[in-house]
Amino acid sequence: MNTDLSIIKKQKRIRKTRSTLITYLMLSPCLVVLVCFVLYPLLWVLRYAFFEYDGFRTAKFVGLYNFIRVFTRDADYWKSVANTAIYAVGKLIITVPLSFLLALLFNSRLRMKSVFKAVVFMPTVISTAVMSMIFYFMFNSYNGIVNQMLMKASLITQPIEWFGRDTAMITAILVAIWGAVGNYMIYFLSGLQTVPEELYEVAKLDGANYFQTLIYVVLPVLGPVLQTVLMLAIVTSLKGFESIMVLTGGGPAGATDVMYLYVYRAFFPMQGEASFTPQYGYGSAVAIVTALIAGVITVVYLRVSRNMDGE
Amino acid sequence: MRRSMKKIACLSLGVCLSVLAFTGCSNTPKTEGTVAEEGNTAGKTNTAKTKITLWTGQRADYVIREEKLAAYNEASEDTEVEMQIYTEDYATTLELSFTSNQAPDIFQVVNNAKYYVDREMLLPLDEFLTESEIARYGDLFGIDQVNMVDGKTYTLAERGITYRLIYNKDILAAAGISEPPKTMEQVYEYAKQITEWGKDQGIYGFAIHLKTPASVGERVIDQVGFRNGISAYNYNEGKYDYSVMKEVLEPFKKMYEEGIMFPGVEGLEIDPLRTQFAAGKIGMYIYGSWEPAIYAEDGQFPAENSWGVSTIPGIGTETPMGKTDIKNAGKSWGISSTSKNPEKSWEYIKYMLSDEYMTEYHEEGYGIVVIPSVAEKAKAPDMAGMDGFAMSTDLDKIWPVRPDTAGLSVEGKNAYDTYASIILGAIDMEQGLSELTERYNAALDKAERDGVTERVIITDFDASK
Repeated sequence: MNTDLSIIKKQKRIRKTRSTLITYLMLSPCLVVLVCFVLYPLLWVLRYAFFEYDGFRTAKFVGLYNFIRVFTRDADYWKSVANTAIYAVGKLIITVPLSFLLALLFNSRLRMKSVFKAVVFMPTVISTAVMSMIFYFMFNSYNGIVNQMLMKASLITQPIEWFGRDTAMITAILVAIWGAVGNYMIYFLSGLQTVPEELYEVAKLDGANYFQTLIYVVLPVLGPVLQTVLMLAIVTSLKGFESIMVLTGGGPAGATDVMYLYVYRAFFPMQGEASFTPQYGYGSAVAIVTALIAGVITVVYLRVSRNMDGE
Repeated sequence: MRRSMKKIACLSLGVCLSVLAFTGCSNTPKTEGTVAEEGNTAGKTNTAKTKITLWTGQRADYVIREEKLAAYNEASEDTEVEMQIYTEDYATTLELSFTSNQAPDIFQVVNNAKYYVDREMLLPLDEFLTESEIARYGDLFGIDQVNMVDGKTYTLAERGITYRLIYNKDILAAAGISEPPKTMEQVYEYAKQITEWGKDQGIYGFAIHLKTPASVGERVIDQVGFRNGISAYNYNEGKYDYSVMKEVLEPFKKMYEEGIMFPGVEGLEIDPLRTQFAAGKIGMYIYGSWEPAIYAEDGQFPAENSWGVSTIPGIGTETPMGKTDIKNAGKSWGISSTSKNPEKSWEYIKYMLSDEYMTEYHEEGYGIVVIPSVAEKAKAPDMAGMDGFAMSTDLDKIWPVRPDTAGLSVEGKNAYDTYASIILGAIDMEQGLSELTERYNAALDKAERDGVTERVIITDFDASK
């Protein structure tokens, strides 16, 4: 009897070990990639933050010098942090409600909605650089199609300088909204499709109108989706810099310089043929501070939004 | 029926993908560093040629470079040169190629040799140079830090970029202006006159491409300064003093503030600026000798109007005492320190710098060749505007290297970004220039202490000589 039990136990152990081994084997490609392309570079960034290094000469240990420079002498960086906040808030307050409204529209009985859905989603699959380059030509003040259309419609009499110091950030936000709205619309749409039909029927029986149903029935059910969408929107807004790099290069006069573009330029400071010495050490320190800022904002958001997960 | 159709479609797609995948994987294997001979090889041996890669950041002379390269490859029995052009962020791409072990054999030297030598990117050329070769370059051989570092030669002179004021003759005439401006004060006045006259037709007096402040700083602001004997780096004392740039920046700032400049200069790049000039929408701008080839009939943006070239104006005088900097003069091509075929790379560089190649290059208007043996004999290029850019000892010279062009690492915004911010009114002129002086001098002191960058002191430096 005891022998049978021990055999069964042994077989169970073997099966468990095999299953664990298979799990790790299946995970191993991902783990290798994670270690090589995420953890290893991350460790180097952490290391270089304490060095003065330009990529060619021998790195020189400077202790906390780079961090002291970020916090005490680099007003341009803190301006880029403020710009990032404006960019993120501007993008969020329009993108999220607009995505939700579009999702509601596409969740209704609309003819040819697959076509419209595809059109709205299209920017998500287009290269950011290509998209931004097209917007650069569309918004340019001398012969851009946006100004021409506004002037033809008699909405303006003089061309708007879309890349001027006071307007460039608005232009960058508009481009960001265009690029993001389709993506979040899909999240909302999938959330809306999970709302049980019975809930609508109960609300109808209780005499709730469309807006009451939306606010008291649909939105609470969509809580977890909204929480995820907002988190994604916050993180991508804080990290986004590709379209700004193509549209304005952070200019004019730093008006659209955002945190991660600033970090990028510390590593790759060249403009055309002109070479400015790369500052890998300082760039690493700025990257760490920037990641901490983005991380703290995300954690605070997740704590504040705990009630949205529907529990 | 529909299901079977779908199955057939899926199967066909699957077959197509498999065929594509297999054909993709079935390329003839190539040995590293060599390339199999392609095309019609009738009458030739079928031995593998050594592959030499060449990188350049210039597209304007692509036609002649490609043509000459094809001729070289055709004639060479053992070498196949492949040229790659990186017009966007050439400097970044080049430096990254060294850090990732993918550097080309030959590359266009756009910075001073000192910059690359400090980063161990260049191979000395001395072992390849004969005495007659050295004599061929005259005074352009052995320019300290530009092409020679610590007595070793890393690159040679080839061509030079001169800087001038480019203006639209038709616009100036229509606005009642008889000749191009000779002073920066006239530039302001004429630009204002043109804008007032042509604004309704979308024509403006002056333009700069402020989306790339480094290009404006190096090729417009610095050049106006140099022509007037003004440099933010004081060579006599070996210190920076940016306060001298105030009089250079003021006319640009004034034109921007008063709305005289072309709309949207904040976000303008050089190519959109050129298209607008070619279309007759811009009265004047300042740039280098690339422009005639751009506006030629078969150029990138053929000009729809009559245009001319004039010297860079003086500040407060019609006869400025300084000279503009001849960009790239003294440097051309270099062999990568990582090249496995330095001899064959040198052979190709020698071919590119030969009298025959360079004479054709010069006469066809692709650039102004400075090699004395070519410059003395070559005919003036038959290209509109090229005569205005012709090199002259009265107007042009090679300015010595400054610490910041030799790789000085500075905290905060670089000088060219600050210039752009000053012109756009985002930074107060005095404050911005004073901060630059402070930061650049602090960086130079530190770099000197650390033994990273040398302080350049030329006690008898004279901007007019």
